[in-house]
Amino acid sequence: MKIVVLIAGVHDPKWPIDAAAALSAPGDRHIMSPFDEAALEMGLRLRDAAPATEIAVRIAGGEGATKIARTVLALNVGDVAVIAFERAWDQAATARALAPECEGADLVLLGREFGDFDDGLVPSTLAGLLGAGFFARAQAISFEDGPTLLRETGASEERVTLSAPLVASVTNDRRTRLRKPLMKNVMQCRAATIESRVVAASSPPSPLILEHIGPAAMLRATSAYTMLEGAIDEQVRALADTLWDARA
Amino acid sequence: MAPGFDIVVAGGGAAGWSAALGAAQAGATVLLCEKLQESGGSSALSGGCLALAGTDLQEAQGVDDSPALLYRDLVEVGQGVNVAALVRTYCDAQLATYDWLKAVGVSFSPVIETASGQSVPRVHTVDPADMVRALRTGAEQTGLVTYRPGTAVTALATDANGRVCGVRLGDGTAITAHKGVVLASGGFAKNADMLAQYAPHYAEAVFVAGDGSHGDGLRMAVELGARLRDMAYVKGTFGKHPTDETNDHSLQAVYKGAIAVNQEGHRFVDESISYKLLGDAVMAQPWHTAYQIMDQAIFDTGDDRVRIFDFGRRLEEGLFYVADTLEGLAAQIEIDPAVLTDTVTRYNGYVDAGHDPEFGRAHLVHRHGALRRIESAPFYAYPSTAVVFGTYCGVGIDSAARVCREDGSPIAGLYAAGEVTGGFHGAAYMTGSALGKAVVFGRIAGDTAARA
Repeated sequence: MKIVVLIAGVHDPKWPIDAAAALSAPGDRHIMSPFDEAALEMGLRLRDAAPATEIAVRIAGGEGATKIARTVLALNVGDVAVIAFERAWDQAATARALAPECEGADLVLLGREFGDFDDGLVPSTLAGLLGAGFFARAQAISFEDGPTLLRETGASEERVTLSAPLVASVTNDRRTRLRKPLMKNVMQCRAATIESRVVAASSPPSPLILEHIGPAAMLRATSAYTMLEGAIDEQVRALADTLWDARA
Repeated sequence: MAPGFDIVVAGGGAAGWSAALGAAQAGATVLLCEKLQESGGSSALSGGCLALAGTDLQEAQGVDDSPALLYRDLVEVGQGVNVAALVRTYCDAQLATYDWLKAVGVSFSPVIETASGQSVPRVHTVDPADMVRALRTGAEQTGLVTYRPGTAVTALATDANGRVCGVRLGDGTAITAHKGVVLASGGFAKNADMLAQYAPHYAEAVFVAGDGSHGDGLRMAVELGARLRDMAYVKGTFGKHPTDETNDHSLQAVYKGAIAVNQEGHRFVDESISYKLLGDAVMAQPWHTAYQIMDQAIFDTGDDRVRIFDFGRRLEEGLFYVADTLEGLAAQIEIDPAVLTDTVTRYNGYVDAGHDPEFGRAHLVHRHGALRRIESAPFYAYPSTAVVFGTYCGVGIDSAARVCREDGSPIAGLYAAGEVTGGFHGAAYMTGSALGKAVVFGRIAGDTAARA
């Protein structure tokens, strides 16, 4: 099985955000989100169960993502690269840029918020582009009846067995908390060279300034209306006349 | 200078608030300056352990302990380097301080455990942040204590006779201290230059300490000629997970019967010794890392009410490696399975024979507890390095908490308590003695200064 794990990264909350600065941060301030971690852990569990499994990890953020890349390397994932999107402010564009990185994968795992702050369109669009199935909000993985992804919906549980190419967006769950790397491997990866490449070649957008962001304008829909007045039987007759007129 | 106070206390951790309360109870007016916005310091981050002997809690559990045994253990674990008079003062004052803490509202867990350097169960556990809050509340309720958060003491003022008579604050304000100044400003675990000077062997260790631990008080005292003690014995505590950033506390499974093996699968130390000495030992191992190896029976002796023995929480946090066989465990931690199996088999043989010819381990911890075989699945491994929680060394004081010069003479008007002081621990450290000395000597410093 070939697995591609896509990691988005988030700003480390222990660092304050400067509202007057561009919405990007030095690499040492990027960490994996809980969703990223769960996606990666699922990939590692699959490799634990079938050691021949190949895992490739692609981390968004360009050079700023190298700290995350070293953490992934320390978990004994050999195929790790950081990728940069030069124009990614659109879910479809993001998915199109990611698709070549996922060609040939039996399973693509990515955090549910990847690329669009939890709108959830990037994972499903990516599945469409790859011609793969899609499973949203995967929470856990089991192996009793072959590798199976699980999610809870209210009182029930939904499952998908990994038998055909699939894109799964992953949410965090205590059952998929990311393991810690061994210190030996962390230290050995400190000097590793991290592959870096651009996955969408075009002019970069202007940096996003936090204090320039405001709430989106609400669309207000209006239409004509008629108040029904009088006694109940009068309102019923008025409503019937309105419906009869509308039918005509 | 502006009209002042009887006493100025620099630092709002356990030592500082103990000094403020002790001074106020003796009738002195006090200004307590904490340079951070929140008080608590490294005390609030600690494991909440106090080394106390002869308490009602011990008696209720049938533990036969005494100040005399505590003294013997403290000197032994400190390898005789510690100042005997300070150890004696601590042992003599700790029971009264325990009652004093309870009177101010500090709650102690009924669980008494045995840990580093202790011959009998002696770890008394509190919520450390709650303890500092209780001390602060008690101090402020006297009506004699003024608290200024976000206010750094940057210099000491002396009169024509060399007596410390006030402080200068970060904003340049001068404050008079009619009876003296108590330094309770913590250690220097957040001062890279001082660490490089005094603890270069811990460059790769993990540091967890209050953000204000910059050695301010130590610097100010040295400028007035204070002597330093135990500076060669800065040590980290064994048992910190090296790659986890969410749980700062150490884990001491070795004191319940686990063994420590390095990345090559070999034991390297008598696991029953002080976790400060274990810290030194692990820093000398490849990758500065070891694994505490145990079986289910040892795991089951953990106690979720004592942080250093809370195995269940660490398991819940995903920090343990677990396997049904030692070979499987070895594979997870990338040790040759044959080597790890051989190490455990040989150790079990030592347990059966009652003799460990490799490292001389005879007890679980210090002189307490019979060794346990590692044999019942599943098996557990906890990655461990050393964490520097505090610097445990600093300015020399006498039994009245007066800061002393090289010749032993006290610097008039200058007192110190807590992590800024040296001489009490010596070469190693007993669990609970750092927080213990903070409250014991903090109270003494405040009381002595107030009566000056």
